[in-house]
Amino acid sequence: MPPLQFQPLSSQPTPSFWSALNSLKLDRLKLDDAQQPITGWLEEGRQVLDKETVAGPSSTGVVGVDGSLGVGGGAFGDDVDRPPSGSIEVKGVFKNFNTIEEFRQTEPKKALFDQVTDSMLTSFSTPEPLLNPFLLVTFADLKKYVYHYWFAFPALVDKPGWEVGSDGFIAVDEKEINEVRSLEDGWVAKGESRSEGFLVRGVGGQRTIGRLSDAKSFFLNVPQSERFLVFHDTSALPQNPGWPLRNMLYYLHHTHGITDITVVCLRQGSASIRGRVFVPPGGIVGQPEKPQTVGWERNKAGKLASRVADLGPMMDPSKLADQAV
Amino acid sequence: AVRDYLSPVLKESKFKEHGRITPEEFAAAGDFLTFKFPVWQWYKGDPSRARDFLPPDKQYLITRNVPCLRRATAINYTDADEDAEKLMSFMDEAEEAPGPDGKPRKAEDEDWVATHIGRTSHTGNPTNMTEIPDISDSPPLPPKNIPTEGLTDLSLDDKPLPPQDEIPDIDDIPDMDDEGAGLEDDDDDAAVRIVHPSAAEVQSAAGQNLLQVRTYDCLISYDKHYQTPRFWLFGYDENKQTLTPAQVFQDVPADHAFKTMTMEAFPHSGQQLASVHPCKHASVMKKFIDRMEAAQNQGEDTKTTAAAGSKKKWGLGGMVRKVTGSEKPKEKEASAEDEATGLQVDFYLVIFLKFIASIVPTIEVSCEGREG
Repeated sequence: MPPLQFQPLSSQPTPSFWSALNSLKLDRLKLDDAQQPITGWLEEGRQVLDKETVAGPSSTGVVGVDGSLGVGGGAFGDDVDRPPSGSIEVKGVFKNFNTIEEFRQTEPKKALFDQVTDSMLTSFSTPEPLLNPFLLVTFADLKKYVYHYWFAFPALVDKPGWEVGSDGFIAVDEKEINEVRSLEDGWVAKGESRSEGFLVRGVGGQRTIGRLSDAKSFFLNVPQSERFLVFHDTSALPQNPGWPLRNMLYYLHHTHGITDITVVCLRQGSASIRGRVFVPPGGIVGQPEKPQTVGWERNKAGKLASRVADLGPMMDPSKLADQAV
Repeated sequence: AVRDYLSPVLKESKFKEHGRITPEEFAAAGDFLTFKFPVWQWYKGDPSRARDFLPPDKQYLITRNVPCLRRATAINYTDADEDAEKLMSFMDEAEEAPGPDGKPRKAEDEDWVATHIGRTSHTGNPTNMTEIPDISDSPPLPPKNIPTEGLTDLSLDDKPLPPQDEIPDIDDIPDMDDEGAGLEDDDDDAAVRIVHPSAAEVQSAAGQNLLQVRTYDCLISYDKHYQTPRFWLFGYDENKQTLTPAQVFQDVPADHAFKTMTMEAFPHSGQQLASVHPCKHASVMKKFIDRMEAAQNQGEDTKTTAAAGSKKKWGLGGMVRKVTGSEKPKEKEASAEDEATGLQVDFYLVIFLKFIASIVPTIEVSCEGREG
């Protein structure tokens, strides 16, 4: 059986995020480099029709556009810019380093990352598991409007990994997607908060919805074919679900003993897919007390490295003054 | 509430006379756009920069991550006639109708496309345009120049890009070689390695469907001076990193880059964004509106003379159906009653976006819902 592989998340800070970071640093944090809570959003992947290519045997004429983890002007709790419609709010930890040297050191970043994964693992035994916390470290050169930043999306590694059923991932028909989406909408209308994923059981047309943290009781006496994990998928790849699924599967297996489940990847348009995934026959072995973790965002070349946003030409008042006509 | 207030006076609204709208009309048209196409949202923007003539929570409109599959140069939207066709085609419902003044349509096309001010014949071969190297995170604009002058240096001619005088503060950019060392083990089998094709690969592999998919945040503000909406772009590359101004202009056909499209300060954040200059918006919008009205009036005539039950609809009703992709005029605005009263200002931004789509054809900023 093919191994289940996840499409890593991409970060997408908006311009207003950098403005928010500026005012946070200047007005509130000043030289305080303690970590802060931060809020972002996950966007579903989608497919767009490519008008330039004609659909044919070699091409379907559709192009996948991955979703991302966005942070905007409201990241630090200010009441501005709502996240895009249909996106899922996620929480994270933010730390701004005061010098580039500190920012570049490995140890503080590693410690922060471990702290986030620890809090995630601890939360797994509570009714409110923290499934996809993210981490953002920055160094802001405020005079030049240059921001060094690095996102991490901590994921817990299962070894050997999950496998995909022989059918792989297949397209889901719209009726089914509409059913689970309306289940979720109904749920949210009743006060449940919208999260990355939820459970669904039953046969088409008569499904019910439940929390991940209720998996044990929710799936009690439910046959395997009627157990679904539905999640908002950031990936647009035809055979690979997005990164946020990873910790959900880890949690369902290690906390609730789930070994075999059908995953429904909710995407925009008609891009949604589903597939059966399961723990390999030998089980996940040798799970140490502290699982291996991964998740620092990679750069274009696939290397582990921080990124730079140079907003000087966009933001610098002296440059803007020069340009003013 | 705004719409209620506006409805009775709509017939006398000035937007049909000169193509300009009031802030109230902008808010009403924005309400309609966000209602009809939820991918568009109202934003408050920076409160300290709020414009008091607009409602505080309706300062500007935004839609995020609009895909842009190819660079404009790869599609060759450079010929003026093609642009004209582009402009025309959105109205193919009204195609057969003569212009408002009865003149043949073609004579007017010149005017429509004349949104590019100072357009000179552009001889550069756009396919030779060099990709801006990835290393430069943001080529700084020459500080002492007027921005457009500075940007002309980055122009789309086939001459090589001028060398950047210097990369400022290079000592601040840390050496990244050992940055990831020790952060995490590199033996994760369960992650897909994302490797997007580079620009060079896309060019060399023509026909193999390799794409560099960029996305754009599209913003619409109200321009107080020109009394029209104003369109802004902020782009991300395939790795979701910010595009430089030069990269943004790769997605603008050569006819418009640095002419109708320039970098200017976005009023609600002060940041420099690519923008379509609004100086001709009012006249272009008036032409669009005139033509739609004329087509619609003619449609009315046709309808009265044609056999009852004729499915053929002209003008706005057809336009709305086309835009929303619905087969039947199920919304009340497309009902015969509204058609009789003519074009309403609510549609202004929908028409405006069709006009914008002709300027940046590779950015699919059409008002189509993302929910297929």
